[in-house]
Amino acid sequence: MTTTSPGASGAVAPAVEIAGVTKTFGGLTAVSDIHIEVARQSIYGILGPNGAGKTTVLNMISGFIAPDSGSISVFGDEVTRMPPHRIARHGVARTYQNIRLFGGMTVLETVVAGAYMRRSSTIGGALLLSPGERRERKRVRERAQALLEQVGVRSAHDELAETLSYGDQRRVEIARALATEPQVLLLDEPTAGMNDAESKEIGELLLQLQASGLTLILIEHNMRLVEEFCESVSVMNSGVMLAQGTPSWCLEQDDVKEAYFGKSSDAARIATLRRARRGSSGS
Amino acid sequence: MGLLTQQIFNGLAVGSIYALFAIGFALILARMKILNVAHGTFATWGALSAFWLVVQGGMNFWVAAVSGVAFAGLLGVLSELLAFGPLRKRNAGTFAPIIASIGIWIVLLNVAEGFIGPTTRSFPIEAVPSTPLRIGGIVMLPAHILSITALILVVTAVHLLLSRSRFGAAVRAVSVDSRSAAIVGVNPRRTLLAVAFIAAGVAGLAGVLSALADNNVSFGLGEALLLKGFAAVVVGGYGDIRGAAAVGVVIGVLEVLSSQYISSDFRDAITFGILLLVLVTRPQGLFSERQLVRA
Amino acid sequence: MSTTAWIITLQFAGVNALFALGVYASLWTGVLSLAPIFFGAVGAFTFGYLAATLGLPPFLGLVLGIVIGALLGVVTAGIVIRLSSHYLAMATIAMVLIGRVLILNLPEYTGGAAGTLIPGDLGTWPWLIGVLVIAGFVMSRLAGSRFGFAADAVREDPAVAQTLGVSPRHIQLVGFILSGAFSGAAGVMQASFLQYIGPDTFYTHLGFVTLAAVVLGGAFHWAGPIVGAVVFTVLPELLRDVMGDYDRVVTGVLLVLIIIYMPRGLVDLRRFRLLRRRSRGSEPSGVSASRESANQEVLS
Repeated sequence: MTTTSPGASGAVAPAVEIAGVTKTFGGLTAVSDIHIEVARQSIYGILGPNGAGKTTVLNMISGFIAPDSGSISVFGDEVTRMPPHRIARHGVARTYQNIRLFGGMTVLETVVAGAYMRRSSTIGGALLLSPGERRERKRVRERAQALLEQVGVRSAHDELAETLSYGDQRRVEIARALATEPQVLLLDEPTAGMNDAESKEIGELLLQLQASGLTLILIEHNMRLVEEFCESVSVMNSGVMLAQGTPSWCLEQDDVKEAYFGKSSDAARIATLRRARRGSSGS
Repeated sequence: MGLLTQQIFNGLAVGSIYALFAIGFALILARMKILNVAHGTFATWGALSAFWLVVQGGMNFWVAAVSGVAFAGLLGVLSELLAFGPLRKRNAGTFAPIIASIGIWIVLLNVAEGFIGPTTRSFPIEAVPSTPLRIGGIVMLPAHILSITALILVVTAVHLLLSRSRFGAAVRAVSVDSRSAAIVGVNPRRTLLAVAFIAAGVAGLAGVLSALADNNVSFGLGEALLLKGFAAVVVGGYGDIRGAAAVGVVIGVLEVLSSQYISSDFRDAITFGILLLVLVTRPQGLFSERQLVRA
Repeated sequence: MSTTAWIITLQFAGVNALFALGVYASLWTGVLSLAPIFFGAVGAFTFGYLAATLGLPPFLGLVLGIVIGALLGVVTAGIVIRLSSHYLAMATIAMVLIGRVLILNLPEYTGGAAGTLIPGDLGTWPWLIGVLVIAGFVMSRLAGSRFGFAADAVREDPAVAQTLGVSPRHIQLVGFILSGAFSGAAGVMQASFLQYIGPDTFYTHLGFVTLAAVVLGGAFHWAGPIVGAVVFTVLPELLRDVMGDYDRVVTGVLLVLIIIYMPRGLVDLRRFRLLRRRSRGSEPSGVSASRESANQEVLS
């Protein structure tokens, strides 16, 4: 892979390019004419109050939702309207705001399941007891263990993943995404429900992943984390782009401030919305 | 020509029974998200209980028929209380209610067989309305007239109930999101119990009418209805009960005409052929609008 | 029960286990399908016809059943895989209904309403055990394989599975092929034990009972359907001595109770893992546990 400095112009396509994307649900415009360019090997933040359309943007990059108009490219290849599994093969992996682990699987199995694209054995190989298939099983398990170490999962690897603490569940999700050996990792609120020390660890992990060549795009509410680790950010509100640039510059902008802190009545409303959403995403 | 009109009338009558059955089946599928395999046994028990009341209890047919319908409705309520309700409370997923309905089906079918035995029985001829009417050269059996009338009344009533009344709004709210419905003051539990009662009761009515039309009561009565009703619901779509009902009627007419003019072996082939064709080409059913898919 | 009755019951339990594996193979990929009954019917009737006209040797008959089943699996998948869950289930039920119509309307091949006689060469213990051992081996090998993990992922969360590069339709196609192969073999074995098959041999009753067996045994591990089929076949026979004609009522009640209180069936790795965790004495309530109870409060 070619390495370039962030913001380098011209020949090298950005890791992810979102050009003029709009998406409406029924009559509601979730995302309106958004442009985002994420440089290779950068850590990019998407900010905004709840309901701003951030998760919709991630869902469009990973292919869950097809935009009404506009295009999305990954390393110069257009992926708009591709099914998610083909976008995954372009090197895009992700985690979820409301953790989505596989029920009944252990921690290790969850990560092994993530290695699907990195395995080449066939059903025939499995049935005929081929040595290659057996080696692959061993290799994938060892790799999964290494990834779990790397992301800092503390629980035993043979625990049911769904019974882990909140923080560990998020780490297992990251390990599962990493098992696909992605080039772009999308993280939807990776530190939600974590304390400061844990969030800091996630931040360190992000740097480590960036150094190994990954491009990271994250939705995050923890401003300290964003300011410390993100090189550039987009701030959205109600589906519209408010500001793009370095985190500290963006947070100085008036409409960003208003979107976040607004009038006190708004703040109360947002808190209510957040509670309601948490209630409904639990099931 | 006389034969054709006669057969079309007979077909409409047979189809009305299928349509009645399909209405309840579609209601449960659309509003409670349950593919209810046991729905046929509700019809069976509607017929069996009415039959028992007439033969053993010496009851007037009309009273027995209403009691049979109520009993079938009660079975629907019990299924909701004992099986589907608890599953919903546990967030058991899409397939669990189907499995539970198989359990209910096994129980009700086997008790029915034990109750009436493996043979088919008939209503005593003097106990049921049986004098045919002749209008314009068409012979109309009371059972046929009853079936067509019942269908018209039930479709109208259920449709108005669902689309115009407060209860209908509550049903729609609960079927979309029971938690939000509860927040705006709808009691989801009671609403679903009412839907279960109506759906199973209408199935019971179909059962009684089917028993009357064929003058034939057996433990497998509802199974035949289940297959036809199932086809009607798939072809007609289950979003709007009128679609399922219309297709039920058409299936009845096609069946009667094809066994008259082609061959009686061919009857089911036509029904199920259409069924598969529609499933493959228009999986949402012929009449239902496109539904929004949640990501 | 007499010894002969026991032997016959266990033989049918074995055949039902094959059908149950056929249902499980699809369920594993998140597809509820009664198509195995149709696959079994086509396999059995083709076997019967060819055995009568050509004098098919037993082994070839079995292979034929497997191949026909697998091919039908491909065709079925091509037709129904894009349907959403309820419609897909309904389409496969429709296949079973249509199968019976075909049998009735092709009397020169199937014997029509009268049915057809089948040679009983394959209806013996060695064949049955051989087929079951192979089926068990196939499932146990697939469980930890690349396909196996992908199937688990697709069943648990198809959207997430896609972001791991798994194509759910591809996995479900493979599921249908496996389902067809098991069910084709099951159909041929069933026919060979019965030595007679008719339009009602492979019908909704068999489908529902097989599905029930899978759920009872556990739809989340391949051993579940086998255990379920054995319990579900043997239990009514045992109950018959006590309950008379109402033996099946107990199975029905049991089915409802199990789906409510033990929804993952008798063979449930998840429960074993939870129990092991508890006995290990690690901290009892994870976040997810408290979330679950919170949900229950809201709903009740």
